[in-house]
Formats: sequence, structure tokens, C-alpha cells
Amino acid sequence: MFLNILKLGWKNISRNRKRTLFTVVAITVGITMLIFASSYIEGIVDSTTEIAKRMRTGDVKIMTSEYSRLERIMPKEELVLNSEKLSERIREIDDVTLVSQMVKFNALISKDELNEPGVIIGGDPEVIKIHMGIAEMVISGTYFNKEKKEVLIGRLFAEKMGLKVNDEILLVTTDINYSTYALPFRVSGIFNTGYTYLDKHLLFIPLELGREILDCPNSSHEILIYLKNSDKADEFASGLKNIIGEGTYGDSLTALTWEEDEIIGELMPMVKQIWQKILGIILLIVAMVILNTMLMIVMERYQEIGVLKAMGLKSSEVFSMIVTEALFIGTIGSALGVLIGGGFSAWLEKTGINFAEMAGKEMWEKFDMPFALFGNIIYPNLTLEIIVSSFFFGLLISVIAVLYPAYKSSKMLPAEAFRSKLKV
Amino acid sequence: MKKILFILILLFMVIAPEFTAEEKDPFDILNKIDSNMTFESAYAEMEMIITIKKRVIIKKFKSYSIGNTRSFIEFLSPVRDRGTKILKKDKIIKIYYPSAERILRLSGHMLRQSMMGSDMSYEDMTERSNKLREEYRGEMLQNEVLVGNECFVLMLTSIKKKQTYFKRKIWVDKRKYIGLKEELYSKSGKLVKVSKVISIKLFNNRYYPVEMIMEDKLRKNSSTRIVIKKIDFNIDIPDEMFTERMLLK
Repeated sequence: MFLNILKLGWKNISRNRKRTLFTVVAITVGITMLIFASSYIEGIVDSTTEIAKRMRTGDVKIMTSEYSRLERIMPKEELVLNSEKLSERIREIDDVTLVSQMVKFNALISKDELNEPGVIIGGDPEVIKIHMGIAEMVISGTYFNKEKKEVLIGRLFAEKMGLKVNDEILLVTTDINYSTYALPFRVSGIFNTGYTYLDKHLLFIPLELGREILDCPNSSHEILIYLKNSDKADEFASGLKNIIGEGTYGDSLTALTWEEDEIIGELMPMVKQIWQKILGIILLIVAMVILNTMLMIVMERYQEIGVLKAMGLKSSEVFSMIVTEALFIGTIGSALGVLIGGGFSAWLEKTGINFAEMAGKEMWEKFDMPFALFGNIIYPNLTLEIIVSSFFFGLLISVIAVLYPAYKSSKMLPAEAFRSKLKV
Repeated sequence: MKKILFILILLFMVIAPEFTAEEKDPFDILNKIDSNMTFESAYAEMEMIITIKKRVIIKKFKSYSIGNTRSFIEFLSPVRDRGTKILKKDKIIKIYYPSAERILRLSGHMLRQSMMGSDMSYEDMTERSNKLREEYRGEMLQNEVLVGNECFVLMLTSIKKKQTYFKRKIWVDKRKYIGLKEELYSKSGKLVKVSKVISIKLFNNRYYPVEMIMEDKLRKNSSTRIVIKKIDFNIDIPDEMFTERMLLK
């Protein structure tokens, strides 16, 4: 009997092809959108987390508690003391792959009559090269050298100040004792990360020169630690408490994991939540379309259902027949959605979506947020979880949508079906 | 008795209108402040005591000025600031940094930066070249007594649309015509800076503040006290003093 119901359900979907096609298209479009949007959000979260880990958090970051609290304004005097020694000790720990000391401060960059503010990152060029990957993004000139008074600047900053490779700029700031200090630097190269904020504001100089400007020998604002296994960051940070609590390296030091970072820990879940709400609305619309089509299918066929019942089909069989039809339609629609949405997302995963081109270069460069939140190219991240969950979502919605009309029609008396229309 | 009373009333009638006119005319008060604060030339040795988050930093410097338009400042201490020279000519400011051995002409963002880590900005230096009465229109508020000194209270509003401090509230000592306290407001009405004169000295016919304190309200727990240790007015200063050559010397 079950086989007969399956056969009947399959036959029914091919009887009115237009009707079936319309429903399948609705499900396909919905699932395609769901897969694309999900992989796109996943892509944003992944790329932002990755860039944040590379540029500002490491797996674990050591700094003073006050620096952590006021990180956005980069208080110069909040330093990890004897950071060379501390870094050496951390490097000896087994799980550690890289330790990067950095000084970060705001400064004014001057060239002839032009002055522009910039964010200076003083670090070891060789270490920064490994975790930030800036060396591969140099589009003009060369990477900076720790032995020379060289600075690496972003493309947008260079454009703003009309700077070229080999130009001399003057970097002026107040040191940790509120004395004004200036040093001339030669532009060694220009980088382009594709992140407006980074390309517009960041300047890289050798760590020792950063320390000289700030008058803080042997100290750093941040120590970024990279581990063999990022997932063990929490455990590692807890283990550091003894070392950083000794007092040798300054008062009230803190070790924060990448997950505790402001962007990854607070902003990203918020972005995800907003997107999920938008997605929820899209899904609701998709579900309504499917529900409407399924209702139409049943309402159009009330006389046919009456005939089937008069011929002896039981209520449960009528119910099963309609649900089976929905299952078939849902499977076809969801499978097509997975193919189209998955294929499209997989293709974009390779090529990326260039938002800078879409929004227009000028408009995009105005999108200057204090974090490296969105790069100009977003690569969606299609996961097996997205494919499977979207497929079953399509199936589930199709079945849920017909439950009520299937129940109503199964309860209908044959005579009633011939006389009047089904009231739902 | 009646005669004395008549003379007194007559005297009052003659003097009073002058007094009241003088007291109530903000333009005249501004004029008197300007004449106290402007001079032909001056040489001064000063100290800048910056207090920020429980830290106290003392900076010593000497300055040569002609009028309010030209000045040359050289920092003597601390070590990291020694040799830093600032040249101001009208509204142009140039700084020589010994660490870089370069001269920088300040413009744009830099003018709004803190001057040598103090609560004062470089822009505060240039805006002092302007006479108050030429840039502001004044309104008299209720008179007040400030630390035992009778004061006129003036609210000045800029005549120009672009002005660092769009409004200034000044407490002017009625006797000495020196602004004892000043509150500086931005165009949005936000209190940006407060300055107070702590000590005033009489130099020949001129009252001049020799100790004052300024607080940048946008910096937390911060104030800068400026103490004039020595000041000589109307001395001969060669024009050469206000050149780039002197910055590099």
C-alpha cells in the first residue's frame, strides 16, 4: 500500500506540470538564497576572524589591563616592560609557534606642507611578515628593513599624501613622557591589503625605532602569541597567568585569547545575529510561498480527492498521498537549490565577490571603519553543514506547509467534495 | 550739610555716566585687556608644569616675542625636548626637531595637537595673535566676585564662522583689566578648555599674568601650569631672530 501511495504521489506531481514547476522553482530559489546567504555570512565571519588574528589578536595577546580597556585610543604609556625577556620565555613553551612584540601609537606624518595622522605599528619586519603577511601585499617598492629608517605605508595613505617609494616623511609624536619627538623615514614600499582602514591608516616601522620614538627601550604595547593549535588558546592564556603575574613585566598584565577580542568576541556575533535575522525574514517569505502553492494544489483538487475517497481511499491514505507529493516536490526543489546555490557559492568561493568594484572605488574607500572588518573581496565559505541543513530545511518547510491542507482534505466527505469547495 | 550733599550728587552725576558707560561697554573692556596683553617686544623665561594622571612633567623654555605676531621659543629641558624650537610668524608655525634635524611647518591636524604634551594646542598660540575685540562681539553678563576680585563677566561670540573657540566666557578683573578666568567653548557649545590666572604682576604701567593654569577638558585628569620666571618688556630683538636660520642654529 505504501508503495502505491508513493506511486500515486509521484504520478500526481507530473499531472499538472506547471503547478509542480512553480512550486519547485519557489523552493529552489529559497534554498539557493539560503545557501548563498549562509556561506556569505560564514565567509565574512571567517575572513574577519582571520584578519583580526593576523593583525591584532594573535591566538593569545599580552598587554596591560588598561591598554586592553583603552585599546582604541592606544595609550602610549601602557607598556609591557622587559618584553624581550618575556617573549624569550614564551618562545620556549612547546605549543608556541611565533611571538611578535609590537608598539602601536598615533603619530602625525608630515611631508612638505602636508600633515596627516596615522597609526604606527613598530614590529620586527621578519616576524610581522610571517603572521600579517604584509610582505606579499607590497605593490610598489620593497618590504621594510629593521636595520634602516624605513617605513611601509598603505596604498590609500600614499594616495592621500601623494607619496611615492623613496620619498622622505617625518614622523612626529609625543613620547611616553610627553616630549615631542620626530624622526625622518624613507618610504620603502606601499602595500595594499584591500581593507580600507588598514590601507588608509597603518604605517609599519622597525620595532627598535618605534621604541626610540616613544622612549621605551625593551618594552612593547602588545605581545602576540601564535600557537600550534588555536583551539588551545584558552588553556594557554590561563597558563600564562603565573608568568605575567610575577610583576617583572609590569603591573596588571592580561593575556586575552582571540575569542575575547572585541571584534571576534562581540562584533562578529552581532553581525552574525543581524544577518540571521535578515535570513529569517527571507526564509519566512520562502515558506509562505511554498505554503501558498501547496494550499493551491490541495484546493484545486478537492473534487479529485472526493472521487478518490468515494473509490475507497482512506483518510490516512489521502493524507499520506499529499504529504508524499510535498516530499517529492521538496526533494526536487531542495536538490536543485543545493545544486544552484551550492554551485554558485562554490564558484564565488574561488573568485570572491568584489564589493569595491560593485560599490564603486570612491564609495568603498569611504567605508573607513576603525577595524579591518570587510575586505574589498569577500569569499563565501560553503560548508557541508550549510548544504545539508539547507536541503533538509527545504524538505521540512515543504512538508510542514502541506500538513494542514492535507489534514483538511483527508477529513473531507466525498459528497461534500462534489457539492462545494473545500474550506480551509 | 545740604551743600555737601549737593556737591556729592553733582559729582556723582558727572562721574557716574562715564563709569557706567565704561563698565557696560564690552568693546571697551576688550580694548583694555588687549592693551594689557599686547606689547612691543618681550623676552621671557618660563616653566611649563604638566600634570597628567598623577605624573608631573616640568619643561623649561625661553621665548622672544615682538608684539603678538612674532615669537621664537626654545626648549631647554627635559633632555628629549632640549633644542626643540618653535617659530611663530603671524599665523604660520614652524618647529625644529633636533632628533630629526628637520623643520616642520604646522598645518591642518597638527595645529590642533597638544603643544609639547601640554594642555595647550599650537592653534592656541596662533589665535593669541588676534585681538579679542577684532574677532569677537561681547555681551555683558552678571558681575561676579572671583577669589576676592570684582569681575566683569563677558560672553564673547565669534564674528567669524570658523573659529577654534566659538564662544569665550571671560571673568575680567575690574581693576587690572586682566582676564582672570576664561572658559572656551566649541561651536557646538561644548566646554573645551578652561584657563585661570593665578598670579599677576605690575610691570611699569602694565598688569601682566605671570602664572596661569590651563585645562584641556577633552583630556582626562590633565592640567598645565605656566609660570613666567623672568620677563623683560620692550627690549631690542633683532628681526633675524624670527627666521628659519635661527631654528637651525
